[in-house]
Amino acid sequence: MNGGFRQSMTWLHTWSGLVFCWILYFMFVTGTLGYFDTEIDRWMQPERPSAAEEVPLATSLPVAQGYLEREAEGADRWVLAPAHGREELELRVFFQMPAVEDGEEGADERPRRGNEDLDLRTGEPLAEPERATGGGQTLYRMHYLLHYFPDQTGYRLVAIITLLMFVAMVSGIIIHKKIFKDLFTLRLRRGQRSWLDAHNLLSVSSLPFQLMITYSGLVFTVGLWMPMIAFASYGFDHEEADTVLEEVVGDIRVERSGEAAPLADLVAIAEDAEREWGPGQMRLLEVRMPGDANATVFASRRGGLSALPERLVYDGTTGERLQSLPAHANAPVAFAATLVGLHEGHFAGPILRWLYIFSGLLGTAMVATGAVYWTAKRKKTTGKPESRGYRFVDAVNVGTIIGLPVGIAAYFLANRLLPIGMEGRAAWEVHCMFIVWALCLLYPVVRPRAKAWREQAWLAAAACGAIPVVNALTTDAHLGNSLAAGDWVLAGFDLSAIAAAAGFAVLALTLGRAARTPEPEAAPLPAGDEVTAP
Amino acid sequence: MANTTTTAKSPRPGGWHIASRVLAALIPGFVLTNTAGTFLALLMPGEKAIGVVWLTVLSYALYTAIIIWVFAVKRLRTVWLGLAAAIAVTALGAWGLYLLDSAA
Repeated sequence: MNGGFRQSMTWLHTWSGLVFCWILYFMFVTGTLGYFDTEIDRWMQPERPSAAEEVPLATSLPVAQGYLEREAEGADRWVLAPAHGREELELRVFFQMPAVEDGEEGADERPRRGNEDLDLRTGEPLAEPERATGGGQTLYRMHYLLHYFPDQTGYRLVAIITLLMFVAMVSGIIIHKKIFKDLFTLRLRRGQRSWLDAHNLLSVSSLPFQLMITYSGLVFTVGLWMPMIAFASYGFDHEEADTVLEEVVGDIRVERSGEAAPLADLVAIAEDAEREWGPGQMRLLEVRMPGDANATVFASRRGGLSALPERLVYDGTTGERLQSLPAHANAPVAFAATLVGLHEGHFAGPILRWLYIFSGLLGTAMVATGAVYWTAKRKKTTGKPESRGYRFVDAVNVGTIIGLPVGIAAYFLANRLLPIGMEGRAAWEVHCMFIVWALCLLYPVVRPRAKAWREQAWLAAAACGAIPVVNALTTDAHLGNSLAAGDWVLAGFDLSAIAAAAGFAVLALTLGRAARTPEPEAAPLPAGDEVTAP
Repeated sequence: MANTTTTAKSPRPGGWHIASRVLAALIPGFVLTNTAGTFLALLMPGEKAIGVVWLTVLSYALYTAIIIWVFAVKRLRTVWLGLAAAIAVTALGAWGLYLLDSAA
C-alpha cells in the first residue's frame, strides 16, 4: 500500500460517500423508523382497536376462503394469512389472477391481483379508517422507493446509491490504519478533528451492522441489476434460466391441468401443519391453481432468521401431505435469504428491535458526520473565501440533517391536524413532510448558516416536542391514557418523540456554546497518528 | 496535515481523469462484472446452478472490487486496457465453458 493508493482510496471514499449522502441519510432515517412500522401505524390510527383478536384457524381460514372464492375464482395463487401479533395485524388475503393478453376473453373488469385485510364478522375487507393515513408503512416504503418516483425507478436508483455506499464503506475500511484505536478515540471540541473522530467512532463501532445492512440491501436488487449472469450461463435462454432458478431456490412449479376439481379442506391442512410444527407456528397457506385438479397447497412456517420459510406441500384436492421443503435448498440461497432476513428483522423481539433502531441511528449519524466533516475540513484548510461547493454542501447539510427530521415530525403532526375525511388525506400527510423539508432546505439560504444550524435544531426540538402535545389535544391516545393503560406502543411513540426533542435541544445548546467560544486550532498530533484526510 | 501534502499522482481531483475513471467504472466495469461473473459461475466445481446463484449473490461484491481497482490504478491507460482485456478474456472463457457444458 503506497501513498498513492491511500490517496486515491481517500478520494473514492469521500466522493462515493458525499455525492448521494443526503439520499443515504434519508434512506437511513426512514429505514430505521421502518423497524417500528407497525407501531407507527398504530399511533397514526388511534381509533383502531389495539389488537385484532386471535381466533382459531377453524374460524379465520373459512372466512378468508369464502372471500377468495367470491372474488378470485380461477386465480393462479391465493394466500391466506391469519392475524398474529405485530407481523399480521388482521386476517389478510392475497390473490393473483392468471395473466391475460389485451382483448383476450376473460379480461374482465375484475382486478388482476388484490391484497386485503378482512373483517372476521362480515368476511368483507375492513373499511378504510376515517383518519386516512399512510402510516408507518408509507414511511418505511420510502427508504427503498423514494416515494415520488415510479416504483421501478426509485428501486433502481436506490440500488445505485446503495452500491456507492458499499464502495464508500470498503474504501473507508482500506484507508483506516487503526481500526481498534478508533474505538477509543473521541477528541471533543477540536473542530474538524472532532468530526473525524466522531465519524470514525460511529462507523467502526457499528461496522458489522453497516456492512450487513448495505450488502443485504443490494441482495434485494440482484434480480433488477444483475440478471445477466444467470441468463448468460444458460445461453440467454430466459425460459431455461427461470426454470433452473425456480428449482434452485427450492420452489415447485404447479401447472394448470384445465380440469376442475374441488379444493381440499384448508383447515385440515393447516391443522396438520400445526401438528408438525406446534400450535401457532403456521404463518400462512398458499394455494396454487385453486379449483384445478392440479391444485397444490403450501403451508409456511413462522419465525426464523431467514427470509425463506420452511414449508410443507399438500395435494390441493385430497389434502394429502406430499413433501417437506427445507427453508434453504443450498448454501448460496441460505446466504442470500439470511442476509435479506437480517435486513428485514421480522424475527426481532422488542429488545432486538431497539438494537436495530440504535444501529440504524448509528448509521444515520455516520452519514451525517461524514457530510459535516467534509465541510469542516474545507473550512479549516483553505483560508480563502468559501467556495460555491462548500456553501452548497453546508446549506443542504443543515436543510437535510436537521430539516428531514422536522419534515417527519410534520408528517406525524399532519396525521393529527389535517381534517378527518379530507380528500387525499393520506397523500397530504406525505406532502406536508416534503413541503416542510423543502422549506428547511431554503432556510439556510436566507440565514447565516451558523445561525441556521442552531435555529433549525431548535425548530426540530419544538416540532418533536409538539407531537405528544398535539396528540393530547386531538385524541384520547395521549400519554395520560396510554401510560395508565400500560399501552407501551402508544406511550413509546410519544416518549420517543420527547426523547428526540431533548436530543435536538441538546444539539442546539451545544451549537450555541460552540458559536460563543472560538474554535481552537487543531492541535498538532503525534506523527503517524493521522488518517489521511481528503 | 503532514502526509496529505504529498502530491496526488492518481486520480487527480478534477479534470477529465476523474470523468474517465467514473465512465470506466460505470460501463466497462459493469460489463466486466457480468462477463467475469458468468465465467466464474461456469468455472465453479459442482452443480452449475449453485455456481450461478453464488456469483449472482456476490456480483455486487465483484463490482465493488472492480470499482476499487479502477480508482486505485495509477495510469488511465492501464484502466481502460485492463478492463478491455479482462472483458475479452472472461467473455471468451465463459463462452467456451458454456459450449463445453452444452456439449457434455
